[in-house]
Amino acid sequence: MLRRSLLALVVVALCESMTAQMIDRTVAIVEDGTITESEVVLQRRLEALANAAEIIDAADERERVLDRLIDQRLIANDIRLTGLQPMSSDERANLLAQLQGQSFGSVSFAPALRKYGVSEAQALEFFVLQVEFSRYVEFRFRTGQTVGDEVLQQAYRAKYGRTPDRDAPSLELAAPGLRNEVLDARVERLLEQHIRQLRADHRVVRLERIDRSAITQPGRVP
Amino acid sequence: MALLCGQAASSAEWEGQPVDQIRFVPRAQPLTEKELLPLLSIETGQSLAAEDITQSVHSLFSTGRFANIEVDTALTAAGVSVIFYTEPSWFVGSVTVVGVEGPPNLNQLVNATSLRLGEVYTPRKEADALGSLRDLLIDNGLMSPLIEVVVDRHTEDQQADIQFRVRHLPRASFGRLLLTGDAGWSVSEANLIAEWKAGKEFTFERLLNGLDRLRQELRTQGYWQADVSVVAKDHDPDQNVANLVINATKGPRIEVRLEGVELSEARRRTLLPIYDQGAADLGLMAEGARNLRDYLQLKGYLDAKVDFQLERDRVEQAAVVYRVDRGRRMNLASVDIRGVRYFDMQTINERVLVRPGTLRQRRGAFSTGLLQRDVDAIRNLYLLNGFRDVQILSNLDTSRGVGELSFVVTEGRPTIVDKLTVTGDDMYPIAGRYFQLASAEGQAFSESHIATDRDLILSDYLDSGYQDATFSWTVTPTADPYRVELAYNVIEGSQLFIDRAIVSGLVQTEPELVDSQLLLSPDAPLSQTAMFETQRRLYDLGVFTKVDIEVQNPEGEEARKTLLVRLQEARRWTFGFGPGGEFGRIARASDTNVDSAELRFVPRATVEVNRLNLRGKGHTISFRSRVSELQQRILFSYENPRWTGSEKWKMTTSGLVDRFRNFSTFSGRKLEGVFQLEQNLSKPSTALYRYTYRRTTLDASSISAALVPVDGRAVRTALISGTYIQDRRDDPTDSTRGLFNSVDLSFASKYWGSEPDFARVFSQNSTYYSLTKRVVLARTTQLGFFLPWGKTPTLDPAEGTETDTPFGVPDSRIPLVERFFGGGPSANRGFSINEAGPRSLTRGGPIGGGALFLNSVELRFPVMGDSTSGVLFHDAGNVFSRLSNLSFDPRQAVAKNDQGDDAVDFDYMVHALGLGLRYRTPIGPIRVDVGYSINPPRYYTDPGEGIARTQQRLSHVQFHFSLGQTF
Repeated sequence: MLRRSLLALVVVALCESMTAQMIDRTVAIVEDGTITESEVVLQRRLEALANAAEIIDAADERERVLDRLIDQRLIANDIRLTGLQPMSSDERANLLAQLQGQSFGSVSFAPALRKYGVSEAQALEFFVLQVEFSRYVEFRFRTGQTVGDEVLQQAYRAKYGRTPDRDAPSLELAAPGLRNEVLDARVERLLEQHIRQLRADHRVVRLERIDRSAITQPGRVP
Repeated sequence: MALLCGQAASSAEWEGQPVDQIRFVPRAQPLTEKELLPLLSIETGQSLAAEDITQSVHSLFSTGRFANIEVDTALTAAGVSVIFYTEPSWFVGSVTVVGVEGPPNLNQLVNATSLRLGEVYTPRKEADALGSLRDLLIDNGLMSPLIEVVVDRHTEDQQADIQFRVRHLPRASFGRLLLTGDAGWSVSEANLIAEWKAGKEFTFERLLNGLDRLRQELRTQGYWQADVSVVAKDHDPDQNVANLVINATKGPRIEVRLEGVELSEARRRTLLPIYDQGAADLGLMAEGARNLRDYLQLKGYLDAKVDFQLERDRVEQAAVVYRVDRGRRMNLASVDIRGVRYFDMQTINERVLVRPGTLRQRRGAFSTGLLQRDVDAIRNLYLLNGFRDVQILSNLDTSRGVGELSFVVTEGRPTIVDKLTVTGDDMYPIAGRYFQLASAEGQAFSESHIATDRDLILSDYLDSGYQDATFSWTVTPTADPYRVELAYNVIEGSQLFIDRAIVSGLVQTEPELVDSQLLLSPDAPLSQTAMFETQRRLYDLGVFTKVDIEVQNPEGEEARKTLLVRLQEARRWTFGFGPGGEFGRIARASDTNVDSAELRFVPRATVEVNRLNLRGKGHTISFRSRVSELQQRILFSYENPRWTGSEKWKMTTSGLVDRFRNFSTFSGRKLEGVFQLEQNLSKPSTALYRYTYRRTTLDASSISAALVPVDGRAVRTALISGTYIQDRRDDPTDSTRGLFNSVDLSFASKYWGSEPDFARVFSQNSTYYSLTKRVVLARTTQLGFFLPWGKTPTLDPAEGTETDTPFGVPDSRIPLVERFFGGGPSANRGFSINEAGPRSLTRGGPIGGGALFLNSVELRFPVMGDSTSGVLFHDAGNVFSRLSNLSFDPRQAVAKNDQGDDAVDFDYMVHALGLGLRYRTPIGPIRVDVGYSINPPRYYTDPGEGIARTQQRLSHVQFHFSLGQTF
């Protein structure tokens, strides 16, 4: 009897070890917070939704998504410190209405949510964050920036060549578009520099898997 | 097995399943089960959702106790089991650096690591620490350091003790110097100025000092904007030298010219900050102009005007020119303040520093700076009382050849707090606190009151565990423009409690000694005051050189915090050696005639050895020895500063072997033992309880036998004593205010081992008054007397008698060595040390008395700067034969003795006037006093053996040299 009970216990333990699967873990530390594997998976789905693209299940793509998530956390902290107002509930409602009227690839919003396996709340949070980031970038890096005539001319020459052909628009016509392109590039450069600085100034750690062999016998919380 | 166990579960299979079990691996976790469960968003019996798992991971991580978390699920018969695998965080414990002989010193090395006690220890911090350590070592010439990090992790409290083991080459020396810039020095000149000799050990301090000297050298030549900096530094490993490239640029030469006034160089440097700062920027030049103007105005040039200009002739030459128009010199005749209704004029005048001329200060005290300060002071007084619209105008009229200053105050109406509301204090209401808010309904509205309230409220929250409490305020006008509604809003945040205190660093010290000082008990709110007070108490034990108290995991969101108490024990053995001396009229040992006392210095040496923290209980055992011509003494003492564990009781036991010579009277040996308890009654009050046993033997040759009982050359005295001390002085070493009282009662009786029986009383009362900021009136009165009882001992009649006088003589029941002796730098300065009172009728030396009185008054005043002061004093007092013979009569009576010779009375009041100088040192003032005794005593010596009886008189003038104030 005793032998059978013991055997049953061993079978149960072995069964658990065989059927146990890891469902989540901490993958990175950003300042005092953490990013979990499930959040990386979710982020990948949300980015695929936003781009109406297929979910790429590759290790390097996962790393890129994790990097973007880390940057997002750092920027989110920075936004909080800057004191920029978050989106109001009316603005959020308007955004949701916009999303609901939008197509994502060949499908509308609700089917897209099902396709990518995300909830409406998760999707809304994602897009709200994108809007707040855009406002932050505009405020922090774009406001006050100007493009001088010389820079504009250089950009025109770089795009259309020193002797533009007949189809090329004139400088005056092309100026607004070129101005935006120059500003966008400049803002992107500044943002990259800023993110690099944030990473240097804050605690950012990628975590490896726990060495479970070093851990002792499992305990039990009733 | 697979058939038995079933398939591995997919997420679709475990989501929505009931949670059967929750486990943590390993079993031993940083938090208890009770603390872990509430952090989870999952519960047994409830459906499992993915977002609940994610939230649980975040909650666990936010405690700061975990460095890594993984979550597994496994299907079971009843649902799913959820297993949390965790790795703990580690927190910085002790940090040590070994293998380096300074500089840099150990503290500098540890500080360079930036590893703070209690903070989370991460690989990045370790890397940063290594980098900083390496840089510090290289900066100090310790090149190519190899640093090994050894971490000792304590799983029970998540503490990591970190040791940096350093190996390095021998310290590099100063090598080649390459100079760039236009300073114009040769390499050898620069090395000489900087004191960088080839072959001298290279340290950071020497490098910095050298750069400073080079910079200063250029500045003294007038190049105030000189810049000297290190451009490059490299290490030559073959020769082990540090080669430097230094850039030294002079910048423009700046000259300072004053036009319209002549001032000494010293005065210029005091008034013009451009000298001190070595820079000629506009701000400093303007400040100099203001200082010059104010200086001249204080001298009476009330209309003085000062302009300045920076003239640059060439790029390399500039001049700061101050143009001064002094105007006429005149006195400030009057200061008139008008328009004050709300306050009385005394309150206003207390804030006004400008003063019209007086006899002592003819010109008065006026400058534009003082005036502005006075206007601000008056305005602040009104603002504090709610007068937000107060206006103060000042005007100096010099048209009549004198200065007439007027202030016109337009008070306006005070703004009153109509209503005060406080919100947000739900957990810890402000209404029930111990303090009173400065702002109140019906009282003046003042931002200064609000600032006071903010400080009070926040510091109280901080002390109650609310480390993140914030305070804000708003003011809302009402219909009445002079009444406002004031609202305080508090955001309390969460309250933190102490989980436990972990003490580390104890090697010799008993843990109980430390535990008795901790004010950090488990479950108490986390209080900064308790932490600081605990730190102070631990330092007061005298056994630790460093006491650090920090919160472990300060950034974590757990409500219960572990406190870390890290201690560094002091060296247990201390040694001291010091020279010293006595200066005064001192007789030589070989001379028994007191006339031989001459003004001289007797050197003294002291040696001291202490063993601290005996038995790890904070006790101290000491050995002190003092050797001089006058005294050879050995003292052993044992001190328990917390007797029976109480903060209020201190026990001292001491033993003394003393060979002494009482200056001009007698010499002998003394063996003494004392047991004393000191009770701290309150902050100013202390009581001492003492049992003293001493055996004193007088040298036969040094004293007239007629003064000593036949069987009494060796005297055994046992005393039970009590002393009460009340000390309310501001500074015991140099008091300017307060009082000091003491009363000592001693009883000697055969019942506790004493040969003579007597009671002894000694009392002192001293008071101190600050007459002005630096002038102090100090006075002291001392009264002491004996009340002997029992039989009178027999004196040796064959040796003659010391009692053949019509006047009082000391009671022979009081042994010679126990009597009062007076005179000297800490007593009546009309006498040399111990020279006061009754004297031997044969040898003439002082023989002590049964009563003592002294009244001393001193006027202490500054002489030069802050360190040198002077005193004028009057001392009145003497040692008297008995209490009943205490007299205030200043005349010394003369009468005939039984032999028909003149005899003098020593029981009269001796007065001395004098002056002295004091020089302040960190351990108290060094003092020199000269006392002039108005009525010094006359006395006779009658040694017998054919030597004629002669009259002597103590000198009128006495010199005293000592340390510390007189009283």
